[in-house]
Amino acid sequence: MILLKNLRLTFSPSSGGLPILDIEDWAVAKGESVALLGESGSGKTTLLNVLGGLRVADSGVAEVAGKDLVRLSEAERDRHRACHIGFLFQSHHLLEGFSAKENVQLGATFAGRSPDPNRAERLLCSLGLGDRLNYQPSELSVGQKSRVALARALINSPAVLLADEPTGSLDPARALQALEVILSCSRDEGVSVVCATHDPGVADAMDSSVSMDDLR
Amino acid sequence: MKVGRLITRNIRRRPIAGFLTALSVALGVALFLCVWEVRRAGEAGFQRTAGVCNLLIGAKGSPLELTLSSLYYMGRSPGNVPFRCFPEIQSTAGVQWAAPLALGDSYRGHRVVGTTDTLFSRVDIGLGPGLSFSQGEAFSFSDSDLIHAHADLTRDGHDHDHASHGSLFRAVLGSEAAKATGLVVGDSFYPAHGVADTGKTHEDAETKVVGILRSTGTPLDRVIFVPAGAYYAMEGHASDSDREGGARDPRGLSAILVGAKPGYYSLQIFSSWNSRLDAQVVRPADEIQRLFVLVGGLDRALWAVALLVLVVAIAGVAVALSNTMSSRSREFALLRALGASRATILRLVSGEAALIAGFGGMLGVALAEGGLAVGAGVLQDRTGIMVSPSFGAQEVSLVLGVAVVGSVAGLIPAWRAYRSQAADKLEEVA
Repeated sequence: MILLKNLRLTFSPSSGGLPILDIEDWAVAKGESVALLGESGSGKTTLLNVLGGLRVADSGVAEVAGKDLVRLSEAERDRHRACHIGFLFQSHHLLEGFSAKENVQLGATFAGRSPDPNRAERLLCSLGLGDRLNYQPSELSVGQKSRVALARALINSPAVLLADEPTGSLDPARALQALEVILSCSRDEGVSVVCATHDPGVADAMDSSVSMDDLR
Repeated sequence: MKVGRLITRNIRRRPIAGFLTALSVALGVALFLCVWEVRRAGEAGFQRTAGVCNLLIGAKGSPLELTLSSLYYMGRSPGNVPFRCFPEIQSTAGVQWAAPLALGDSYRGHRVVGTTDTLFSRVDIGLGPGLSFSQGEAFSFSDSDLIHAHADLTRDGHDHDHASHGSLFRAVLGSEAAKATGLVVGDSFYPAHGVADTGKTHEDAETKVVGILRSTGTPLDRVIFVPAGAYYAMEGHASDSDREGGARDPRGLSAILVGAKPGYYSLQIFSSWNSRLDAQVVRPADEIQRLFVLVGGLDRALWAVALLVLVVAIAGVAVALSNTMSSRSREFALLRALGASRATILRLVSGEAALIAGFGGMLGVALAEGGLAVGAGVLQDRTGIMVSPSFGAQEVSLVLGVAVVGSVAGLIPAWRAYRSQAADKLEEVA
């Protein structure tokens, strides 16, 4: 589902031409969940952005959900991302002025296909937010926001879910619940999950884990 | 969720900022539209009035002065034309009608003009020959009555006995004159001597109102018409030199409105009468055109100011949106992560600018039309310009034009959003 070969990304000139990513060979199978470990600034988020097509590698292959993102045009990458890749951010990035349900529906806006109108509601209910559908982000707790963001990432039934510290702002009970949802997607729907985390508990729950130091 | 809905939601998220930006556009549009409407109505009114007759005969002097004094009742008349010109022009080939004008009196600031009933039956303000009445009817005083009255005056050689001409003292009021003076059919008044407020009234010329004209949107609305015979019968008119413009011939006429067959006849009359020494003939439409050329610079300056205000207001939309771009960079990064293309981000921002500008445009049209509707009466009373606020194709085009220009102005902040790197923003936050 994910295949990286001889992938190289260099930030220049501020980084002095040093490679941020230099990955010889790395793969994540369909339905596999992988924890991405490493210190802050080690390039975890950058790798997630490369896997999501928001940043393009200088060279190599970055095949995600059947397409080599390095060789796609920007418009094709945008479409591919909208349809097959879900993003989950540590800081949630919910839009103010949109209800919880609308924030989830926003995830389906750019996929170019008619979404199931009830899927947003079902996802939110499965995450324990059935009574918060019409709440504004400002009316939700941090944990609730995190779950809304998770529902948004899953709205298009993505082939790949890229999560950046998904449980970082949750209490242990809620973190467990969110992790369970992510892992059930991986197990039941064959979603490949790459999860950047500092949390050993999250890493243990994943099928495997890899350190950024090992990847580079 | 469609992109259009995203745009409206974004605006609703910042309602006060959005409204204030739209309001600035609205004020610009309203000013622009008011200038446009007043200018259009003024020009239309002037041209409609110039079309009252295709030729105008008066004393030698400035053609524009003659036109303004005889058709617009502005300024002073260049003087009197000999009375003989009236029967002469009537019998000239190609002349369909001729209506005399005797200027020089007033009532509460409204000109009192001596004429014949031809004026009411033949003058065309673009609705066909003749003027219609809201109350009463025209006084009965024909062209031949005037010729006889003038012959009597010439034979007797002095002012007439007023008592014997009591039946002459009838008046027809223009709509504005009636409204301003409060006179209705059946009321009486005493005209004052001169067009300025001299305090000298014709005490022995009690004049009864017999008709009130419907509004024409021309200076005719501000005038009080009396039979020209009554004019001559008023004390002093046939003998002194108080007639407006100074009397070369106190028993003459201030002007003659002429309806001539267009083409050859009109040209013939124009050239033959202008070779005379005692009168001139002018084409009012040409004179008004000349007037517009004279005041064209001022007109263009007014346009330029109105346009500038509009441009500044629309530029304000771009400035207002630009100010939000930094705080919205995370929002755009998120939308990009969700699959929005750069072009979609561009559409979102420029669409937002278009919507704010378009809403401002609609608000501006409403403000202008509402303002003109409320102020139409005052404007007409003070300037004679008759505006008729309406929402039509021009206003729709203006709103659409403002929205399009707004979206183009919005491309400046949109370009910033377009060029921003979503990954940078997301990594920065992470």
